[in-house]
Amino acid sequence: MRSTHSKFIRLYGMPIGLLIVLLVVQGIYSNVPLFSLLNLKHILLETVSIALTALGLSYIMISGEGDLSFAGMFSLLTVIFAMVSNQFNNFTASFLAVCSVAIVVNLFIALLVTKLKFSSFIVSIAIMFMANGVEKGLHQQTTLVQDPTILSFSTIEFGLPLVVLIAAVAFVVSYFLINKTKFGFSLRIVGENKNAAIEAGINTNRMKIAAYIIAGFLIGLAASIESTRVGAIYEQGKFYMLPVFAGCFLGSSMFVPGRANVFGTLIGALFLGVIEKFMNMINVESHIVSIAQGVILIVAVGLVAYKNRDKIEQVSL
Amino acid sequence: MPMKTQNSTLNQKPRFHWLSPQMRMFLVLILSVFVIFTFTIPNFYYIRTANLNNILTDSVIPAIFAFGMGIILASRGFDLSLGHIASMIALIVAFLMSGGIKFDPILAVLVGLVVAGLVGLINGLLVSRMGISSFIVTLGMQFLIIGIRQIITHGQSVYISNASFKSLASTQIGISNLVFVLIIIAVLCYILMEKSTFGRKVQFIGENIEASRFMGIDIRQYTMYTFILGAILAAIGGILFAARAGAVQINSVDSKLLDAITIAVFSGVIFGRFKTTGIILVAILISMISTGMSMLGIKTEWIEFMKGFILLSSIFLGKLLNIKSSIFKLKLIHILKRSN
Repeated sequence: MRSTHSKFIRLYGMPIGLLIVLLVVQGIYSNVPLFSLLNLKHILLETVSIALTALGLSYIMISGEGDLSFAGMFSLLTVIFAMVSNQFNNFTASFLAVCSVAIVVNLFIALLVTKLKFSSFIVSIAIMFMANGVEKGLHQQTTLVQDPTILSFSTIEFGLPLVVLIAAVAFVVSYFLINKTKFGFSLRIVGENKNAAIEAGINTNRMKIAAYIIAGFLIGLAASIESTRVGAIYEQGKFYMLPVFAGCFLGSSMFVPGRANVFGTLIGALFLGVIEKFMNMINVESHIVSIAQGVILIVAVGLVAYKNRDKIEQVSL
Repeated sequence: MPMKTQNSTLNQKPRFHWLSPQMRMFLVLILSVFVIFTFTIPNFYYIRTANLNNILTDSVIPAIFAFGMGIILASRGFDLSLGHIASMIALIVAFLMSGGIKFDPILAVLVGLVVAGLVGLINGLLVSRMGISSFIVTLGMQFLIIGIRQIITHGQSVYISNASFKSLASTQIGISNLVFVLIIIAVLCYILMEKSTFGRKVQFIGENIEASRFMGIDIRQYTMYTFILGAILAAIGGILFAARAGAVQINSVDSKLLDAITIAVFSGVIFGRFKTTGIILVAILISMISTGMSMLGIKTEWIEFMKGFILLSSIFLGKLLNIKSSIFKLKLIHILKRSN
């Protein structure tokens, strides 16, 4: 029987540890204003699309599946956004186009995974490579988003940028959806114990498909936001695979240990955003940033796995 | 009650099948691809000897990558970092032979293989001892390598001037030396994975992890070995690529991961397990398709799309033929899920 003391560490150890890391870093480099108001705004703005994609992935992971396709889809969606917005100069049109593409592709994956019982891993890898191919086929060089009103969504002149508010709403809604509604309860049961879910009369396939569709919408939203923020689009998704996964896995090591959860994902994504911003501020080269992200991912997941080493299978994929 | 002693199927002498059904299906696939491209490409250029030779040579490096991936897949692991390992080793070997260092090519290749083995060992240790999902480990390793190789070369490409190293990929008696290298590696892989107890045990782990534990197979040890072997095979692929291209860019072999996954999964799905001949045949098939497509004037990006599509449809094919493969059990498991 675990004591309450160790339970507290199990639930909140990771976020507190991350906060301590950040404070120590701030203490060492005290000349860098890491937590100034302007800087925090920048961090939020830059983390929004990672956080939203990670939230989408969390839905899929809560329902007991995994997904890789977003790494390729993200680039493709930003390219589609830029192309449609340059054609029609209209945010709504481009947003709808991007979201519908994302939802249709995710629905396709979900049908393969649930109805035909394909390995979600291989299917999503195939979709990732296919999306990469299409993305490179559609454009060869950087595509620019030209409409100034679209670009203005991500400016930080007054108050919080609009996109940050949108992301905040998405997270709050997701929290209530997953933790407080019947839908969320069924979704979690499907992910945790499939047989129990079937016994309880839950249509597991339908729940998984719903999770994939929500994830598709969130990835579409994230890609639209990324396009408005960056403006010049070139292979945006290439370096998103790791931060998104790291955010999700960091998140599943806190609050509800062992399971993807909304707040954990938010904190994980924010932590990665802060670290990356910090490294940019002290002029670390980009390849050191990628080393750091790789190490964070392995160490974070490794710590949790090591702590629970007697409870997990010896080798699992 | 008298049993039916004459069981017609049992007493029948087994007919000699010179080819398994899967092999026959493969030959049909390859033949049909061949026929399609023969008649769609003008002047019958596709079936000229030079082109056929080219197809064979092109299939060598992907096939070697796929051996590495196939061995790891056989024990139900996965490695996303193979392409990056190969790029890094190609860079290291080229770097050691160039500039002020001027290593002997054999020494440089040996150093490269040892480094690859070490990277594979780290991957394998993290997966087998710490129990981290192999997908997470190799994704992290991928980003580590992106950083490290940038430090080695500062983003510049390295040119290879050593003639004896380049002769690894030259053509001397009509067929490229690469093909002979592939034959040697294929024979070694065949003996190791299909004829030795090592291979049997690795494949059995992939087939049934619980049963293999009860049999007393040291799963941790064998998983670690597969990662080391996979990394070394990928490194050989990268070195051959460097010898063929004559210059190494920082990310020149990364995209071979797609080939490795496609070929290894295709072969694994159709044959249900690691099969050397299967991997070589799929490599040739994919090389035939991509050569044909590029001769028809299709852009490389769409060929990449095609490879992804082949990967997806190979699973369809496997399900259609009702083959039981350990690859269908591959799942992006959240390792943390079981942790409380």
